[in-house]
Amino acid sequence: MAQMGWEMQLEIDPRSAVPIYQQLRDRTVEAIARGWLVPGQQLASVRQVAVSFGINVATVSKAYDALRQDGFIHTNRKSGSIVARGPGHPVDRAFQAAWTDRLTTVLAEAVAQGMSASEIKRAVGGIIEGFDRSRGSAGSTRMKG
Amino acid sequence: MNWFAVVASTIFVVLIGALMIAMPAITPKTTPLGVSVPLQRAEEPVVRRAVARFRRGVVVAAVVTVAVTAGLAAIDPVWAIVVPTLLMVVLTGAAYVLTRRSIQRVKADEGWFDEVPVRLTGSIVPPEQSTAGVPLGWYLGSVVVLAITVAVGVARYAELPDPMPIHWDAAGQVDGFAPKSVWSVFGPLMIGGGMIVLFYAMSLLARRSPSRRMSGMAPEESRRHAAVTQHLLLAALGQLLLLVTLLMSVLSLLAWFPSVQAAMPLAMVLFLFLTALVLAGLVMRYVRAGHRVKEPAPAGTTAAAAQPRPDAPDDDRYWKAGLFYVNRNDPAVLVPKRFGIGWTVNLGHPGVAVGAIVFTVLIVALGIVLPGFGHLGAGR
Repeated sequence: MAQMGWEMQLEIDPRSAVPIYQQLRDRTVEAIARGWLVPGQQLASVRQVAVSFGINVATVSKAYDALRQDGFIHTNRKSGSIVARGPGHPVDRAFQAAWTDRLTTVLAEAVAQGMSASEIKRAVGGIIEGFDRSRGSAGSTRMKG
Repeated sequence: MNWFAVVASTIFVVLIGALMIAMPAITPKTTPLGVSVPLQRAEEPVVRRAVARFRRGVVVAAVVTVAVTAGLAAIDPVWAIVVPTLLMVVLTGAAYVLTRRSIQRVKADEGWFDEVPVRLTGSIVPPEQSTAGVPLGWYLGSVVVLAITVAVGVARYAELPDPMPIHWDAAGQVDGFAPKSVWSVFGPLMIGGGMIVLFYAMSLLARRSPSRRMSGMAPEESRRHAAVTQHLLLAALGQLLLLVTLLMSVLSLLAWFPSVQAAMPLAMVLFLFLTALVLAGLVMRYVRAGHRVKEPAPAGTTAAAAQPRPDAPDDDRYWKAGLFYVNRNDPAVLVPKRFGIGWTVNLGHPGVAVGAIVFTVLIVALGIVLPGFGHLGAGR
């Protein structure tokens, strides 16, 4: 865990059309899926994150707001922000409905572009497997540490 | 005789020149002469040519400065100390600004950054506490040196001269006196005490300085680079502090005991020489550590850590003349230097901007007030 700060470097593409705050939010959600961040883990303050990337404090604040909105993190005035979601967490019904809507669009894009059902399933399986593998190794590192 | 002024400023000039010539070797590969370039372009001929031209420029600057020093010493020894240092800084600065332009021009013309992916990298978990400790031995040594000198001053206070010499001219001759008092006797030692506090504060700041991932470096390599830089800078700060407190003690003893006052120029030259030694040691250890940092990652680290990393975005527009960092969007107070060892301040930070103005005013005010004191004393 002591090395997490250096091993878990998030990357943001400043030339992407996706806004920086959105990228920061997305990379954080992926970090939770990969087990790099675990429920209860302390997050850096908004200022610390901004210093680490060299970006505006307001941008990080917006990303944290978005993460809070979706329940991925909790912020307490005293103890700061902590990770509030992780694998095994009871699934929120409202979230599942909204997520299904977004997934429908993403899958429709694939079908409309000509990807076959088996290609799509392989892609989805590969991504989920990648998350699981990453969680497995992150867990074992944590045990050793 | 002005030999002292000439020797002292020549040492200064050679020291600055040697540091500047060594500088490209200890600067990260992705910022040659403070220009940000993609890692795959770091060895381009235009980069090598610019660095070679910069080094030749530094040699020319040193030769010109030493020649001017010799000329000035014949006229006025005071000018022979102040002018060469300034001249050397201005000339090497000019060499830097002029030679780095060619890299920037080719980079823009060929669109070096258009053809590589760039990423901003950072972390959202709290930064780990620095493991580098402040080397307390040097601080303890400094305290002991000052304490011994204070003890000597207290024990022999009755025999100390009145008025007390407080100012020397550029040739090492006493030219200012003040009536004997706690202030005139122990003033330099009080400055030494202040230095201990100042250096300790700087050390704590260096320990807290944020470590950002360097462009094109794997995270593990970046971590080691930051740790090594911190360790070496903390050691050099401690060594310089001991030298400063030793200087203050020697100056006090020279002022107290007129029989040894002739040793003043020798003490100053020795101080400059030892300072040069500490700085040369820092540069040499830094270069050697730089090779160690690049060693393959130890067994057990993930393969991903060894893979080449995307470059950091081109941030030349935030580096004025490649030296001054001005980025209003970046909340960091300290950022790693572009050209050199250690950290520099972000002048785009409101607090830093105010601090820089206050500091400049203080220095100018001291420059006006202090010589005035010396000459007042000399009139007595």
